[in-house]
Amino acid sequence: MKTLKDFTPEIQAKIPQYIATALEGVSDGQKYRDFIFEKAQKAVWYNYEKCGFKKPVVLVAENPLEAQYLFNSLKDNPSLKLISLLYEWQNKKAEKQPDTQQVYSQLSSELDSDLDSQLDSELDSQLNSQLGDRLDTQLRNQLNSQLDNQLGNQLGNQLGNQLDNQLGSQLNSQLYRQLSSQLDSELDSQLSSQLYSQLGSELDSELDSELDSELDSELDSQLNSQLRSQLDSQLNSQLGNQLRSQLRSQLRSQLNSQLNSQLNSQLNSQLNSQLYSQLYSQLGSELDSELNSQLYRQLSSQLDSQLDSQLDKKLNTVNNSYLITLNFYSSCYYTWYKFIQQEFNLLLTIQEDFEMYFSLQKESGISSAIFSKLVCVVTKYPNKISWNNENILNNLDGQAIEWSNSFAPFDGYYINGSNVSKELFDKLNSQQVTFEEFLKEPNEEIKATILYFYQQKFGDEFLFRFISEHLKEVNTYTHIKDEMYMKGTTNGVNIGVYTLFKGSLGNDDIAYVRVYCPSTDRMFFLGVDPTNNNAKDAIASLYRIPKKLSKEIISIQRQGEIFSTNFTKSGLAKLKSMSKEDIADMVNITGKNYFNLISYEY
Amino acid sequence: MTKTQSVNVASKESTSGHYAKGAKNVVLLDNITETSFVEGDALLSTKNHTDLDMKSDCLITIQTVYNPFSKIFEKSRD
Repeated sequence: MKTLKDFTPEIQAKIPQYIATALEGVSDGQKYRDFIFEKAQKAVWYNYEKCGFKKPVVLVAENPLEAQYLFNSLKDNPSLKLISLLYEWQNKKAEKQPDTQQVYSQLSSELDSDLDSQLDSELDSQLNSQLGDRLDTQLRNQLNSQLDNQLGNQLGNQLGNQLDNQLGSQLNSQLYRQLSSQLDSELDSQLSSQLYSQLGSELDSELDSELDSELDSELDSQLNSQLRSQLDSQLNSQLGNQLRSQLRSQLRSQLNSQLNSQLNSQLNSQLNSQLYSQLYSQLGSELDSELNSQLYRQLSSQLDSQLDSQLDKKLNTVNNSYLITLNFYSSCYYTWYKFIQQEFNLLLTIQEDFEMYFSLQKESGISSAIFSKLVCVVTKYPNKISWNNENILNNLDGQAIEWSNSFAPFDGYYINGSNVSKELFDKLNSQQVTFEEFLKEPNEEIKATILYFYQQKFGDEFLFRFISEHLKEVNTYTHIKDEMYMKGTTNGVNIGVYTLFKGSLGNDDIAYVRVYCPSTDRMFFLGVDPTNNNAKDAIASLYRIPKKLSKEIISIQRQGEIFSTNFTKSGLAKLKSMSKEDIADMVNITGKNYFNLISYEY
Repeated sequence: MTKTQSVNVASKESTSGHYAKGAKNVVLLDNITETSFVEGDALLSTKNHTDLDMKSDCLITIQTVYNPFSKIFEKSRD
């Protein structure tokens, strides 16, 4: 039995070395540079198998934002078919170790029967919707050019005959009427017949040329409308076979290119390259290119209906909580367990698994992961991490965590442990955050971060000017705490020192009380009513309690923005019978009362 | 005795939570002031401050600061 007595100073002295070992390669990007996909995959698969799951498809992201985008984009994404193929393949291989021919024939027999009809119907519907307009134009152009030729020849003859007949009869009747009226009185029936025979030949040639030019345009339009339907059907039957085969080959290539471009944009190049490289690395040596293309085409139709719902279910089964064996913190956990094990000679009953889990994680280069049954998206370590002396994320010159990215940059600006936006960091770095903006910032942590940055980056004098231009010190109160209440604090000299500042900004009177966080020594400026005249009451005004309980307080504790209050027995009894209105009816207590009751402050 | 899991007792508007762990029960008494009652001993944890041991039973209230521009008291956020 080991106790705290065994935790000797000698053993305690070894802790920094353990911490240094745990952090090896984390800050300087060595873990990032050492990332090898196969090792990451091995670690993921080992964990899944230990949890009773099949091997997921492993995808790699450069940073946590990319990982989330990548995972979210998989839903309803055509790449799911590829993923599913890979998933089934890598798990089938593990289960049965079938040879290539077996898999090929199995898949072929499963898919071949429906393939043609599915492809045809799919192609038709897709072509109709996607290419209808384009084909219509092409078809019309082709038909028009062919029609023009055919019309030129076929219709020329037909029209010639028709024209001749029509013109003949028309001309006959017209000329007859004209001639009759003109010559009626002068010419007798013989002359009429003679003239008719003479004029007939002359008029024939003259009228032919005139009417030809006049009727050409009219006939063109008439023929176009009259004969288009007739020719459409004729050409459809004549050109159907030829066009169909031409169109099919054209459309197939167009469809392929369209689908490829759609897939590319939807899946993004990252996903495709990962999936294809994995697919080819597994299938490439065993399956030829024909099989690959067939499988892809076959699966694209069949998997649509069969797998979509299943895939969604598999994707939706996400484990949001992290695994301690596949995480940034794995080294931390492992190091502490190892420390306890080695320094206290404690044996583990799961020694083999314990070593395997953590050695796999260490070699994997995985800093975090998103889990689902089908897919595991892992994130590499950052390129660089900056800490302060207390191992708190901090960089006053740029990003504290520098992630790599392939399509989605992920900022990592931290100032003394507080995450800030790039916009705020840039403004701070160029001293552009004004005092008014500082006062209007609603988040006290961010306000404290602004003060910390200005002080650390530009010095005490700059911070003093920043504040004193608008605020003047009015009063300071120092609360000397009992030593027992200093446990868990920094023991800094600023603990318990409160200063009231007052001033004006525009037409507004302002008052702030400066406090230092006992846990971190960060400086806070907290807004108080300008009617306050001393720091003691000003600090107390931050604490409010239901009026009915204000005289029942035993003690007050504080952690940042949260107060915890204990009451007398009668106070607790009152509390249990209080209405919501009673709870909401809050009052302050005096500074004297507050500092008599306050115990721990963190 | 059944104990609650971690319950956030900080203001909903806060970025960082303050989590009461191990309490027998945590009851939100008022939505406006976000005052809560913590039954049983509990440990209060948050990102930027030392853990606080809270003795049974206690009332959780949130610090109020004065906004000189809107001239009202507001719940503090962190």
